Amino acid sequence: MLKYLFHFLTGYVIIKIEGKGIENFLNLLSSEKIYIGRLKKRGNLCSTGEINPAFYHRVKLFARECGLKISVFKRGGLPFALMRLKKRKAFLAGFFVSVFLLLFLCSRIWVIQIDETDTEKRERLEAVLAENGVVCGMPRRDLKPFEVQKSVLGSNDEYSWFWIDVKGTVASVRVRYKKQPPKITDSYDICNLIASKDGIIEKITVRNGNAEVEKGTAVTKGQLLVSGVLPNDIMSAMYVHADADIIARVKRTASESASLIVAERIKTGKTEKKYSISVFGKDFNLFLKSPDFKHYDGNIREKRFKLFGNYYMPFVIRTYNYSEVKPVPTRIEPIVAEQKLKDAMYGELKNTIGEKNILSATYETKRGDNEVTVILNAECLENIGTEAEITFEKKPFVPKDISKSTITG
Amino acid sequence: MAYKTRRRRDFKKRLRDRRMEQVAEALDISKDFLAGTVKVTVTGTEELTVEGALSIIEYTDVSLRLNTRDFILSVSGSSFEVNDMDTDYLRLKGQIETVSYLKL
Repeated sequence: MLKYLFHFLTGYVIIKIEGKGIENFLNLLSSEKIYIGRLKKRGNLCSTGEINPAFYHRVKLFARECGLKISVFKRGGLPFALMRLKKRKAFLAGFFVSVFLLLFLCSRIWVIQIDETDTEKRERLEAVLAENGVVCGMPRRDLKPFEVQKSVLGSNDEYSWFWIDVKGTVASVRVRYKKQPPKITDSYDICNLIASKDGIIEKITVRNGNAEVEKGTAVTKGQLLVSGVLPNDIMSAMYVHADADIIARVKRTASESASLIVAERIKTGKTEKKYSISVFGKDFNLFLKSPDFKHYDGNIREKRFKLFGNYYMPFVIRTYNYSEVKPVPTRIEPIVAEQKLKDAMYGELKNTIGEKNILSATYETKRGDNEVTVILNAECLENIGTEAEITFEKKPFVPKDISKSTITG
Repeated sequence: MAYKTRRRRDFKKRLRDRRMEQVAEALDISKDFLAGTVKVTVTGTEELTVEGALSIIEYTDVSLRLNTRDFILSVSGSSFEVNDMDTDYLRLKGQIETVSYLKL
């Protein structure tokens, strides 16, 4: 393989050897250390072989000595190809321009991949990257991952780890988020904890304050749970910021209705395709008007042009596939509608308080002529403690900040 | 005078090669490694390489005869093509049917 590559780079001449006694000629070449390859018989008295163009005149002399006649059958390789191209100046110029463009395009970042699904976090991260100069089209050599990492971690409390991997023209950004520390409460901000909902106390963990209820106590909304007033024998009382986890069994009720008549979108079979291209981030539509359909479903398929591996180019072809649909009013079975509603309501509750906190869920259904109503009754575990101001009959004693006081006397 | 010198040189070379062959035999290694004997490699029925051949006696597209120090190597088949040929190396491609040795 390397030998053929070498021959291609140095160029080669395929010679035609005519006459009797080719063996002597070959032995002569061998003794003179002249390489000959691809020797092929092309009839009784004719053969072809490949030699280095530099030896052609010597080979011709040897052939004459052996009583053979040689002529050039074909020339090949890079030097001959370049010689032919010398006359075609525009082609050569185009070739060099395309090589230059290729090198230019391969030396820049065209895709920034962010390993984040949350849209808000993603946008924030994009802004952070832009602040640090990481944008599409920046030169690859200017992207220094260690410097960007240092800058991002130094200026943002949100991330605990940050890294950029550059592969080809793709920069993959990966981040890990910090766990936010608990909020520090001001010890002078005194308060009680009261119930935000009716329920039965399941678990109570008091960190600061005086517990007024215990496990199994039924509480009502607004009832004092943890008092911020600590009785004291020496002083009248101590006032603190009450802090506790109060988990209670509470009831949640939700009601939703749905119509039994739904507009089913039936495909008519008519489809339309539109194309648009994006060059260096700028979009150009290759169509003049939107699809002719009144109602349609659509999807977009994006194809990014790449050379090989991770070398993506800043050219994107977008295909918009539209298929016409016709909304037809259809009556669905009440049981199907009920099930859909139940699933939706349970999903919403699960998202709100978490599945592990749902103890039980029961449903009541009411069916009308064209409507069904589902009522969800769920028993859940929730933290019902909420901060409330302490009401005083007299002005409380609050210790002075002694660092600011001056000693007189 | 020149004839005598050449004969002496050939004799010395043969003597050296024989000694090297003995050494190779004693060490249980391939003779071509030390003594410079001919090495013939046949790969399947389509390729044959000869290292250390002296000269070509006959070459057609159906047969090839090579002269070596110890024997004449004769190859017959069809569609022969000499892919590479250098001072002491030859690579033949084609449909090889028989390979025979004629001891000198």
